[in-house]
Amino acid sequence: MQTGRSIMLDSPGVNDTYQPGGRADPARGVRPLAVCELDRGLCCLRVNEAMAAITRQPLADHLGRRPQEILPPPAGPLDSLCSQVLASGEAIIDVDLRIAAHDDRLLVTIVPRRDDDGRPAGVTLLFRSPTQRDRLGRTLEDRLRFEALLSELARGFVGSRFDEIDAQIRQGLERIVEFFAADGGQVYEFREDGSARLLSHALAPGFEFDLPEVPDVEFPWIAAEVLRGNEIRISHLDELPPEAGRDRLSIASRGVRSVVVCPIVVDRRIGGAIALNSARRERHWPDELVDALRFAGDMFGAAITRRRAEERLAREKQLVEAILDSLPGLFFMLDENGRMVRWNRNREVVTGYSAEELRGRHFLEGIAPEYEKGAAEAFARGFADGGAQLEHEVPTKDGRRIPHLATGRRVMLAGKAYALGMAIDISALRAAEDHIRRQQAELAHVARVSAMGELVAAIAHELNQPLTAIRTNAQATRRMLATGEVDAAELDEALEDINADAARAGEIIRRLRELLRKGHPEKLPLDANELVRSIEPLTSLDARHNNVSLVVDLAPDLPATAGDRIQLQQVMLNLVRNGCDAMRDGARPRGRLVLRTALARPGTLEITVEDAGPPLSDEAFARMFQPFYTTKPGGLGVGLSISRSIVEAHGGLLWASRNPERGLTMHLTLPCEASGPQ
Amino acid sequence: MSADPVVFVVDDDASVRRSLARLLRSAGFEVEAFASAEDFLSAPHPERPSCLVLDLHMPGIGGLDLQHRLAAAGLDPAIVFLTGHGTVPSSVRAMKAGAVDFIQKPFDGPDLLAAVGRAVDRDRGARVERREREQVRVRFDVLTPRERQVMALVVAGLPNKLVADRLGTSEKTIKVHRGRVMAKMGAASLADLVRMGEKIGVRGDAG
Repeated sequence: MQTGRSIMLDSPGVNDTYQPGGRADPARGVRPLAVCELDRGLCCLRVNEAMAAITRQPLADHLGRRPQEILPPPAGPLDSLCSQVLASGEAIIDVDLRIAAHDDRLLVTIVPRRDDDGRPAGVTLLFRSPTQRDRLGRTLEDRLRFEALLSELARGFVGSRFDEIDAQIRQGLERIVEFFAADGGQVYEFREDGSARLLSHALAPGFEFDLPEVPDVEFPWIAAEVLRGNEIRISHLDELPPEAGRDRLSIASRGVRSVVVCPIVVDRRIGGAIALNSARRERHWPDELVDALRFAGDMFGAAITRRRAEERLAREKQLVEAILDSLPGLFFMLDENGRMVRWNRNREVVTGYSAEELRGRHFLEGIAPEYEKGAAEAFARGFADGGAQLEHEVPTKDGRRIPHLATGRRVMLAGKAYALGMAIDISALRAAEDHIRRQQAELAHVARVSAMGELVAAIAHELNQPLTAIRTNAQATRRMLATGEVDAAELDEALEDINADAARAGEIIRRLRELLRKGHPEKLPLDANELVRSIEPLTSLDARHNNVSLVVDLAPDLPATAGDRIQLQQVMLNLVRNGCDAMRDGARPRGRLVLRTALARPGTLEITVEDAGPPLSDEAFARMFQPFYTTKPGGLGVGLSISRSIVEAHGGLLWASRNPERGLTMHLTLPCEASGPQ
Repeated sequence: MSADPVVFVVDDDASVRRSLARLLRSAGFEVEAFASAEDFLSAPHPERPSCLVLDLHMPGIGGLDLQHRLAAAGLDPAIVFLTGHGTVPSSVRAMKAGAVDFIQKPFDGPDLLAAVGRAVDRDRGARVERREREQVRVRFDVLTPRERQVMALVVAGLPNKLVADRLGTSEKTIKVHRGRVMAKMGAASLADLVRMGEKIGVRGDAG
């Protein structure tokens, strides 16, 4: 583009309606020019705020759309005019659009743009009101040069990378300084805290002055005015108000005689300022110049906004990357086909696969084969319902498999669905679970054995009885034989007693062995009466210690049930012990504990344990089956809850009822065959 | 008094009870067996040498309880305790309370029979002793208060003169009292009287 020092806009007298103090007069109708850049396809590349004010749509909504779609009707001829300009390379100036919805007439100038090789690159639309036009240049040539400047400024920012923006601003500023024959120009940026920094500057050849390092300190009044949205036009330093003494000093010390400053809107608020200086002479700053300055400021502001947004975006992106990479788990983002789109660094560390190896991989390749079916289902479910969870194992490159719990959900990003989530290493959890399971089994065994320890005492006592009887009988019979007075009937009686006691001892040992066995639960045919009888010898010591007499009342001809004999024995032992303990607490000299079997109804048999303990509080009665609830000092409170789960695992029920007189009855039901034994 | 001793067996285990009875009868003892302490207490107890073979652990009144109850009732039967397993504290308590023996089940027949024999002997001796003591007590009861005072001082070893000084009377009067005491008590000698005094706990203050 041809450049030249135009003086057309700064001719004194053209527009001398500036205000002392440089405040803009809104009534004067100075408005930023509305600019809209179109690409070769005549779709919007960018628009400025002023344009958005005309279309009354958010800035971003303009992009990629044709002007016809964004301008209120009737903007009909605009499309064909643009095509015409693009084809001919000739600008069309000041077409009256008469947009009905707009409260003003709009004039549009359409300027062609070319790329570096001179081919048509698109067009730039400049909208202005007729009053604005009236103030613009006098000759067509001047107008065209000015339009070309604006178009060039606008173009410079289209498609530039955000780290080039500061350089673009500098170039733009140089062009403006040159175009308006100023001696210097600066662009300032306000920070969030209101302080300012010099973003860019340009000087006419041969001029030099100290650059303000802390602009808001050197120009406090101007900075405050600009932050309020006011533009400042100073032709002579005396125009500065008394309160601007510091500003005046700062300006004068640099040999500057006239200044003009316009605010720059960044992110919808005043975020900067653009200033031109004149040092060689005092000069007026006409509206046209201020319009151009404002337009350039608009452009710079948009660019700074974009830069800030992109910096923010870059920071966010870095943050996201940092977060993803700091995640302890395996992050994943899958497309609709299950291909890995994103993952975190940890996945590479954990699996040993490089980013190249992971890219585009199907997620099922990262899951151990036996979990594939579940994983595919979870993936489908995640897409259907929005969320899914899956425990699986992640194979590593070196052949290990690490248990993970993956949680994922569907997210929509730019209209596309993805599965996004995390897999957490649950090795420690699994190991802890295994450990706990082992310990529980161990504990159950220890508990059984220590319960047995007590029972062994009972067993020893029980064994002692038949052994004592056997030995005593044997010695009595020997004495009988020795004296020679043998009564055959008595001898037979003694031998029969010996026989029965030996059988009794054998039976006790058999039961002890069964109880001590650390067997797995197994359901075998079971006789409920036999079950009750089997625990009888084991409970008699408890009963004795607690002054309790055990009464057993068994229903004849009970149908068979099935169950784990040892587990059910323990349940029964637990119930009997509880009953005994309750009666000891009851301080009754002698209580009865009644064990009863009955056919509750066809298909269900019932074992009851009825004690005569003291009344139980409502709370204790309500909570007795809760784990860790106990009324016994030193009790763990797990007996009844474990018992209940054992019974329920057998398809039965365990509950308590209050006896009419005193004490409780525990009811244990078990499913049984519909008919009695044959 | 009947000379034939009787052995009471108290054990809640029917089998053990039967075998015990069988063994004791084979050794010539008369046996009465009970399934509980309560049953035993409610049965009549004839005055004859006896012994109690008692199971330590029983529902209801246990062996030790029965021992205490009998002692509280002024009875001091010879008891042979039977226990299932070595419960040392129980044994000590039982022995302190006068048990003759403490036998662990299962036991050797001769051991039990020997223990029962010892218990019966002790009981027999105790009964003789008790009877003698009762006879002395009956005689002592007929003494006048003055004669009891004299007897207490005499069995404490005081000569008549000191007895007279102590009681504020003449030696001659004491001589008369002493003669009456000897006669009423049926004591052949002073040593005899001293023994009698010991039996019923009559003791004077010699100081």
